[in-house]
Amino acid sequence: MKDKKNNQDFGPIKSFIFLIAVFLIVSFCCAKKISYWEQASAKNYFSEFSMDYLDFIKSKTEQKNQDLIKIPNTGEIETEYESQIGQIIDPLEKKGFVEDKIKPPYKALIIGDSFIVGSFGSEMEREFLRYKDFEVVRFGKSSTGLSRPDYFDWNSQITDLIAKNKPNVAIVMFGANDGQNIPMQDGKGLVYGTQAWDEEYGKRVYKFLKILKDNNIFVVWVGNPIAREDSYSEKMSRLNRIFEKESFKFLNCKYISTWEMLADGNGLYTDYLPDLNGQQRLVRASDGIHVSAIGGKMIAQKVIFELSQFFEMNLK
Amino acid sequence: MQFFSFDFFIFFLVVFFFNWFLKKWPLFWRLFLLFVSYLFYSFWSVNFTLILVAITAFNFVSGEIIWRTDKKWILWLTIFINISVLGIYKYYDFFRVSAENFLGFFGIHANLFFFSVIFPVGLSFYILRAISYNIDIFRRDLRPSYSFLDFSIYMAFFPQLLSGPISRPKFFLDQLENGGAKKINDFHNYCAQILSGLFKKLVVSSYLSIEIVDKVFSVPQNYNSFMAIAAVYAYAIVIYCDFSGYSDMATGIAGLLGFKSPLNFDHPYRAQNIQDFWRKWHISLSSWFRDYLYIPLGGMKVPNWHLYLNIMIVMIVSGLWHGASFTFLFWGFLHGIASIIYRARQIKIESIAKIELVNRKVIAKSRKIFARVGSWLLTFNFICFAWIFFKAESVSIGLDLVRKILEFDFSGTLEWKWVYFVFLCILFFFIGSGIRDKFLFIQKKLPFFWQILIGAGLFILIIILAPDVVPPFIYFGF
Repeated sequence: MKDKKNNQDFGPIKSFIFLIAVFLIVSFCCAKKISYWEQASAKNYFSEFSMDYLDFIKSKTEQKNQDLIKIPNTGEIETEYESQIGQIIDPLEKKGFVEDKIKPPYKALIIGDSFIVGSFGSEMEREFLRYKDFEVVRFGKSSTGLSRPDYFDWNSQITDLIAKNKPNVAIVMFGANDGQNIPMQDGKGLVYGTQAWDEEYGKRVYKFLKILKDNNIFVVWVGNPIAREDSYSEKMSRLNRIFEKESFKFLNCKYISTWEMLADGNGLYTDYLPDLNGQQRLVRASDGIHVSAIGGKMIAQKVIFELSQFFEMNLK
Repeated sequence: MQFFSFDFFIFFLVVFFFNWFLKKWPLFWRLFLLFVSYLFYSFWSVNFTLILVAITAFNFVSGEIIWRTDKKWILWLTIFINISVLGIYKYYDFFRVSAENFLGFFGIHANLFFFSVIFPVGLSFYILRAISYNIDIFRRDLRPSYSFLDFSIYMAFFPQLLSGPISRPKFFLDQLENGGAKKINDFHNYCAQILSGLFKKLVVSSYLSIEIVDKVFSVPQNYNSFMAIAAVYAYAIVIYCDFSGYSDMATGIAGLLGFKSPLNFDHPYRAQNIQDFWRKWHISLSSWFRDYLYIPLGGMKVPNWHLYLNIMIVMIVSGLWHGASFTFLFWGFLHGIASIIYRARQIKIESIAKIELVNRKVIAKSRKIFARVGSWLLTFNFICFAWIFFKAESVSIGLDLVRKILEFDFSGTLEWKWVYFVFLCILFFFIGSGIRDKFLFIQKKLPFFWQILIGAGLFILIIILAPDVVPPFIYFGF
């Protein structure tokens, strides 16, 4: 009886106070994680109001925890970067691997963001398994990239993956979530779209590729395809230029553009493209960013084609 | 805007406040409900909202015409138009590609007409709501709504818009009368449902999807049999936690606004047979198919062969409702076969032992415990097996997974943590609701301040336990 009375007493006003109190406590305690959830995603659905509110809460909590904001593996590369531009001599090139194809067995590492988690990654893994002497490891993490190592540090991750798997070829795809400001140790951060941002991002791509080069890994860097929304496409185009430029500095790295491959005859976004028989097939995912299974397969086959110049690709 | 997003939390607080504030003025209250529902849908796409408005207007008019004319052909035309809308958005491309491939098999090169459309999330659900409205009117079970506003809210009510539960028109429209509910009937219960839904989705479903299910199901040949088996059971947990988690949240959110929702899940993995499973799984959909497809086809009052055909038709339609793919068709077919076998066996038992089917308690008591455990195991494992084709990208990949399991290849690393996790989850299916009831019993007795702290604490715990990335709801794709 007492329970019933308690229950009935809980009217709309008391309920509203309850919900507001829960909201304030939860947002105060979990502002950082909640903002990561959507801030880092490919398509930011988050409202300005939510972002401002969470930033305010974070600034209040992080004043006490400055040490929580660590930007690992950035900032110290400048000298090395400057000195090596245009002077890179790949150790693999000395061995003449381009003429004499790299010998099996092969271990491929497929790494990157949601493209790797999704259709492109799985089609790539499947394609590799069709060939003799190939072992494949796929490691994708959605909502990650190179602009937010405070969220997910790919440089330390790739070091661990190399140590664990000892790959000799890597397929890399990043950028879908990277069109955003880069937080820096000084707390100010670099604004996306500026020259300074491009330079910092370029350094990060360089450093990532350098780790792969130091481990004698042949790299295929896959660029981002055109997207449905113009503003997002523009971001990807800008990032692709950086990927291409940095890849060009390494002889063990091959950059593959997917932009034209998935655009229509006029160079515009399209959901459908003709297959080998000229029949229209869905190549993009419903979000207008990612690819469908067929789109993923198209990119994967292009990667295999490029690799066949350097590796002995024999079907099982 | 997902239910588990921070934006939604803010959105809901505003809606909650005005929902109860405007109760004194029923017209404004209803206008407000419709406005926020359309606003919610427009976060996905304004175009989707326009499609919803058009379908709502069409069905409101058709309902009125059906009531006045009582012509069956008008009902059929209405159903045909509704299904055509669904067909254009959801099935046309599947049939076009299938037809082209089929003709190609015979050496005929065909380029059938194609157009590029984006499937509006929730369309499969609100089309069913619209069809049931028209059929109920034709059957004289329902008078057409006098108010276009009320009918529009029924079609667009935001907690149930994207993935159900599929409310019946009378059940929902009655709740709008006279300004709707005047108080929240069971606040704690609805809050517990939201938290339970969040836990199922954010923690259990997301972790298992990311860590094992998605990887193994995409390329089964790259994993050993141990991982393949673990992924199959894990997916059974994922699909349940994902969808029942969504239903829990939808029910809780609607409840806090003063609306009751139909029960959508009733411990489906406790089912002792396949028929029992369909009484417990996605109840609002399976009862829809029962009332608007199975019974019109003749139900059980037909010869046995016709009954089996009806069962198969319903299961295949149910499969195809989930998506335009051979995998869903095959999944429906498997459930159809299982249901027919079960039904045939029941008919045999009835004829031999003269036991009425409805007297299930007598049957249950007469069976020994091991027989009950056996039938549970058989049912559960069959359901898990059928899920393989529900999840797999294609039937051939599903078969790859089955092949991998049958290879008994236990080389490489055996990650036992998944076995423990899956076992724990299955155990939770049996004791979870008991824990929730106990929690509610204690929570209601506590002082208000502690109720807030515990509610917030559980919410925070769920966020902490959740992975960094939460995949979208599986049923949003259907």
